Amino acid sequence: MWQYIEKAEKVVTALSKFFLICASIIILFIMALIPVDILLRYFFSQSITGTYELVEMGTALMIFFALAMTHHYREHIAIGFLVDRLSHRVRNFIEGSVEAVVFIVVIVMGYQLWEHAMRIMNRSIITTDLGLPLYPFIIIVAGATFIFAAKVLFNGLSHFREVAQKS
Amino acid sequence: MSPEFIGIMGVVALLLLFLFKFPVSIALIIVGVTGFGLIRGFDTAMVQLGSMPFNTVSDYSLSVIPLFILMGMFLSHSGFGQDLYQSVDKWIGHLKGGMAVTTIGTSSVFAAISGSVNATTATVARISIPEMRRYNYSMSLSAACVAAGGTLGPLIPPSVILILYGILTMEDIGSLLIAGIIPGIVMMLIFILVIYLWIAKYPDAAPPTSKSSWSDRFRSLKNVWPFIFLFIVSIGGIYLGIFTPTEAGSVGAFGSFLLAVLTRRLNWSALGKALSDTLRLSAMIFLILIGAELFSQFLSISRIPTELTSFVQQLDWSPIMILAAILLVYFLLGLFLEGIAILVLTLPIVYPLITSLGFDGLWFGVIMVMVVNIGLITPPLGISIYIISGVVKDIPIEKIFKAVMPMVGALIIGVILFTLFPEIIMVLPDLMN
Amino acid sequence: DITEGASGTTNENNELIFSHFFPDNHIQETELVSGFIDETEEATEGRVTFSSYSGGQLADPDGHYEAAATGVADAGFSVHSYTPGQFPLTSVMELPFMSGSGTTGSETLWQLYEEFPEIQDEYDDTVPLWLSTSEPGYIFTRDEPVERPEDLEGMIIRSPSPEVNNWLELMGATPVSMPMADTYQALQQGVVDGTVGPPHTLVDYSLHELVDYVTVGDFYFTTFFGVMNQDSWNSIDEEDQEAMKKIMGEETASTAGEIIDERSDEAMEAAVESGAEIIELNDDQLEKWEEEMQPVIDDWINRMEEEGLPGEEVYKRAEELGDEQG
Ligand code: NA
Ligand code: NA
Repeated sequence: MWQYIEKAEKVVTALSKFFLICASIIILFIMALIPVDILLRYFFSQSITGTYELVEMGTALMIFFALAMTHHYREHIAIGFLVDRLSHRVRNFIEGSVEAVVFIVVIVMGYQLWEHAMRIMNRSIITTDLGLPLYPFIIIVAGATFIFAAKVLFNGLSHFREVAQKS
Repeated sequence: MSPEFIGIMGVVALLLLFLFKFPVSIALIIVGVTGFGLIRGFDTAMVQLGSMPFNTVSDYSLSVIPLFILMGMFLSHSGFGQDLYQSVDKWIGHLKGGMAVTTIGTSSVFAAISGSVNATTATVARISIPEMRRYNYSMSLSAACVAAGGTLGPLIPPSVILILYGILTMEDIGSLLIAGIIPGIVMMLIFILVIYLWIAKYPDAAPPTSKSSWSDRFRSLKNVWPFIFLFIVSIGGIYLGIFTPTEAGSVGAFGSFLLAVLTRRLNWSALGKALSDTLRLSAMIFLILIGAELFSQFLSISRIPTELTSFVQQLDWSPIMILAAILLVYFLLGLFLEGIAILVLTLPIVYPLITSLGFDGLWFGVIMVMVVNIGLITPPLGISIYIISGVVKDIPIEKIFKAVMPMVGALIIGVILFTLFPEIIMVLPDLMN
Repeated sequence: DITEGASGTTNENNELIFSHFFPDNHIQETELVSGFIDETEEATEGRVTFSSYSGGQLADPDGHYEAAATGVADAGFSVHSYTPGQFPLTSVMELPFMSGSGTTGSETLWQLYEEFPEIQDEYDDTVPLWLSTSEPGYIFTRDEPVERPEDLEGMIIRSPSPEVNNWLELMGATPVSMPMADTYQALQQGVVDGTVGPPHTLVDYSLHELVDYVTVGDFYFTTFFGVMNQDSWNSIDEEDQEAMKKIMGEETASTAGEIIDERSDEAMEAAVESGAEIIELNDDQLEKWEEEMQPVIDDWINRMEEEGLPGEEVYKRAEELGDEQG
């Protein structure tokens, strides 16, 4: 069974890496967009229409695209001074169980983001300057949340594998 | 169950989840949503869970955080930190304890262009500890200097945590940014004083090193200008009115990117690492912010902040006693929690209380950040110490914690000093307005 | 279900939650929301009570309609233009020259709501408590005065809404969006040359200290809504609902307008005191402005008609009501 899980995990990790590359492109875009806007404003009294909302939407996408890889490197702050002292098996069991709960929370969050997108769509809310519909951005964010959830799931499984192998 | 009772149970549940190594962000989400659901119905709690993540992350003011982090990462990954250290070393390294002072100085300058304490500590540790080892400096002293220097990061602008404080309390971000400058410099001087006392007691800790020639010294300065340039551009541009504080982050990031590219220091691999480090750190911070948003809505509706404020106002304590009690709580929280988590967790309750007692919100921001910072270098959750121990693998972590204690003392002295003389913090912001 | 949450399991005395984003010490809280809550309590002999959650504790500024519709709060109060696209016909009041004051603007808006089912549709999943407008929005500039439309050419102006973006661009100015909190610094240091908005927002953000010139004209209105959750409303006895209806709607709308007009006068006084020059336009000059801004109005009507909404009719009626009420 573990070999299939490993294969699936590889796919999810590849997707997470791809998302991180997308996030990198977005942050570079924002990094360049604002200075260009400032220069246009300062020297030519011009402004790029929609800078404000492009930065907002870009930040939202880039953060959610990066969540999965953040979890891959186990960089979400957690306080381990108690659990880290326990035996290898107990520790992995607890950490695996925590990941299971985190997985459920993230899945529910992704689903609720989708529901939120549907409500925003029904209210036909658009962005202020460019008039872009808002809901597609929320749908993309919901999608990235599901990849994050998948990453959590495989992290959790690897803890349980540790528990199983030591017994 | 009354909402207040649910609120208190929520706080207890949160601490329990922390204890079981739940990610801080997810623990906040779980407790926030469950608590809100118990008080207000689970359908509405689910609406909150659906709307808050996107609303929080698509906030223009918050976009400055990843960009300031990116600026620090570009400088770190393209080797500018190394150059800075060597230059300072050439000037003062030969003096008694000179390399220790060099480390503190480098930290301050690096802190001044980096928005993140982690980036500052990791960069300076990687550069300075091997150098000090080469000259037989004691590892205790070396580690203490790196750790102390890192705590200046959140004081000297730009500071992600002070920007967050401004966003959460609506205090002026521009003023907050410059409020940390003088306290940062004063803290640096106190740290240097501690180093001299240390060496007076243990002369072997810092053996003398060789002196550089004047031509060497001046030549090394050519590698320092990027820091001065970036600091002037990103902070100076705000005060010249070329851009707003929110825009300064991208100007700084773009500037450091150009510098690194033009000096041919940024190859593809360094670019990738800088981007990846920035995005992961930002994603971690933003997920905590989402959790904090949900948790604070739950606290609001439980009415605990309102009740607590009226309770404290009923107490027959003087404002300074209440302040001392609050700072003590912050110190204790700092031992266990990460700074941003503390900020978002407590400010909805503490900020109204502090301002209602007549304290200045701006001043309190700096003091609070300093107190919370102490936890960066204390057990059990001293993130800076973990970063340092990742660089000096041959020394047990307990020993590093012990070595850093004098610096903890210095920080406490600093907090007392700035409370007795709030002008130290307020003079620059007052001057600006 | 939502009903259970929304019908006030919140606390023992059955207080309903009234949520908005204005700070605790803002007139919108101290006078408008508090006043509405007090009057409701009095009219229902204490059977319907609200507790106000100010400062956006429960929802973001742009999330308050949603919060009230879904029962996160029992009632919410916010600004229409924070969610562009959601209230197409209501946005008629954001067009230039709709009314001469906050009071008449608010009364006009409520009257339109009562007359047009298409506007009522924009609030079909809530119970509107009132709709209101700000006082007229003026042009505030530093360094250079604005008297004629062409004076705006080349200026960088902070704009509050898409409708204002449109006419600023027509006149050759560059509209920029930025958080209100950034505007003080942006204006102080010349990142922008000016801003368009209702005078009371000037005092909210201390902008009156910075402004050199105020061009007076009915250039723009911010519009506000106070809405209640449908189930929370249904949970109120019919007798109390009737009592509340006397307060809701036109009554509170015009109170909201009066409060804001009063604040506007204070704001203008503060601006004059700190050295601003007030530029009043004569009829000839005004005519020029109206002429220049007409394309924005035509564009608005066309967009509404394209979406199958009675834009022409609503605009005509709004103008008529504005003239009637002065
Ligand atoms: Na800094
Ligand atoms: Na909020």
